Amino acid sequence: MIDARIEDASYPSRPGALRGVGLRLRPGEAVLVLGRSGSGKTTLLRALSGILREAGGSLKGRVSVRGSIYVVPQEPWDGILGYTPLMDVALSLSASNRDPRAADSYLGRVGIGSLWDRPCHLLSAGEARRLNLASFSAFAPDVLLLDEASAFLDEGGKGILVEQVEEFLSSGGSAVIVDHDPTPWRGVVSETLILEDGAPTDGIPPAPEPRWEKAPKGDLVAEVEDLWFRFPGSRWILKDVSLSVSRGEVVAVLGPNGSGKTTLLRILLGALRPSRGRVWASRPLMVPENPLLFLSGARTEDEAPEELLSEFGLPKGRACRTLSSGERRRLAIAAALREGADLLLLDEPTAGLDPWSRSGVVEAIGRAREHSGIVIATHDPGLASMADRTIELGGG
Amino acid sequence: MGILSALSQTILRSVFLTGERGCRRCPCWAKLPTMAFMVLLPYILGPWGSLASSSAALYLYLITAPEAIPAALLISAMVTTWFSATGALTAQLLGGGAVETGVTIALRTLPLSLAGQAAILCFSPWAAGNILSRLSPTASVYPMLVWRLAPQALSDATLAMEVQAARGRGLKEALSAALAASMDRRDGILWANLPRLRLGARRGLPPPRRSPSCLPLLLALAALTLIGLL
Repeated sequence: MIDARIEDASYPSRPGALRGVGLRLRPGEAVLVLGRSGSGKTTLLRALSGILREAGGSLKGRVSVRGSIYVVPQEPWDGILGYTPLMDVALSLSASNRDPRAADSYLGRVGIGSLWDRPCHLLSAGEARRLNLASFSAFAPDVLLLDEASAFLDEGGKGILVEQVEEFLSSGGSAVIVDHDPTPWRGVVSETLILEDGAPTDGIPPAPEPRWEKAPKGDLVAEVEDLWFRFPGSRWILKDVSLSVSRGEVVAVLGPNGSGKTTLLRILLGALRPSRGRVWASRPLMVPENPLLFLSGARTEDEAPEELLSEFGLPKGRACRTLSSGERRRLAIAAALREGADLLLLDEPTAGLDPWSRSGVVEAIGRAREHSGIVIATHDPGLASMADRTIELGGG
Repeated sequence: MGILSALSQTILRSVFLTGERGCRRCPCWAKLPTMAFMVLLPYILGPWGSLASSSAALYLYLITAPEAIPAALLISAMVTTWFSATGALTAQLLGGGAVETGVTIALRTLPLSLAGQAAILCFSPWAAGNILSRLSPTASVYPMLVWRLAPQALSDATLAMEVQAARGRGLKEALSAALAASMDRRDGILWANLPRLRLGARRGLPPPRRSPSCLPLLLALAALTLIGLL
């Protein structure tokens, strides 16, 4: 199904982004690709999908992929074409010459049947990811390329993802799975490819286990009392939420996809007004799920000084847009730390990060709490377990 | 920047808050004459035409997305105030009747801006896609893509303005961040969806489920026709 020998894949800004990679997959087989952020994993997927040149890159070697390809990208919204979930799945069915009227059942299978007519820009990241899975399933490709597809998914969503991939493989498909977390894929993949600095390697040293020093609890930086919120005409997203955050404290906000975690952060930022209740926050700053919205500088050094860049393992002099998704998030968090807000709001700060980057980010959050109170919306159970407190949102 | 962020959020709420429901699902032959009447009546009948046209626009909102009415009214009020105030000022400078000019412009601008928003609200990318699919399967994807990306870009711009304002940065930085995010999304969507973009809707697109009654829209059309004839 896939027979590739990539001698060299490069971008103008990153020569040798991927070198000396060979891959052969037969029907029903899957490979798991592991590696740090920026190690060439996404470049491999681009080379296999035939879009490397359109992304401004060049390829030496040969890539042969038999049959149709479907990509589930790292950013969930990038995988959506239709303006409502029903339309997106219907497009997949219609493109693969199947009956588009079956779209409903695919949405139901990933647990978003009730959102069939919701404009896609109103979906949460997790809901958007579930839609990606429904559309992939509806397209029924021969080859599936998954780029960090488990990021943004709650445990239920991850279960659906693995189940769908297993079903796809058993029907004779082949998959290339890029994921930082190999755990869900044990028993699913037939081989593992580890990349380090653009080339295959036998193994990479494990990431250090991040730790936080206990920080003294300081003055109050945010207080929420009896908060209710809903967008006009929609159901209540937040109901009777109360919360206080002190300097030196890390509060993790947990909850399934669509439970209002990001909405709570936006209310604390002052961007949304509560429908009811009282919200007070001192000098809040937010790093959104899409870190590019935080990064207004053109190059890395516009956002953070050299020592901070090196502390976060980030290159100097690179255009922010050319950074990998993990690098962007680390840069945004580094910049936010430099600006020293009283209240730091982090939306899924570890989603899509490899264990090494994650470790650096988690340690940086620990350092930041010496100066700020921190509220983190996350699906990362490891990060949540390190927080001083957790609050669980669900149905408000 | 807070005003701009609120404005982009208001535009999002006024026209992009709904999927395929209400008058969006009605056929073009019913929607187009309704829109034409809403635009023409203020010119044909003066203030009464304006009242009828504005009422019809609000009625279309009511049957399609009642939750978007406050945002639609806010946008119309802003547009109307801007045009009537500048018109009145110009009339004053030229020695004409400032109040009369301002009121006349307001009576035409208010229904027009409401009708414009109602037209966008009633536009169905699905129906447009199905019409275009007769030309080519790939063309059918584009109306959907526009309706998918326009609110996303507005939503990203809103969030960028909120985040950059909190950082103490200005509009230039917010727009730069939003532009970078949009370019990145364009590349990302192209990459992830290339097979679907190349193949298009080869089997057309199904009518969204739960076909609604078009009776409310036809009633509006009948009322506007009657008012126009009388």
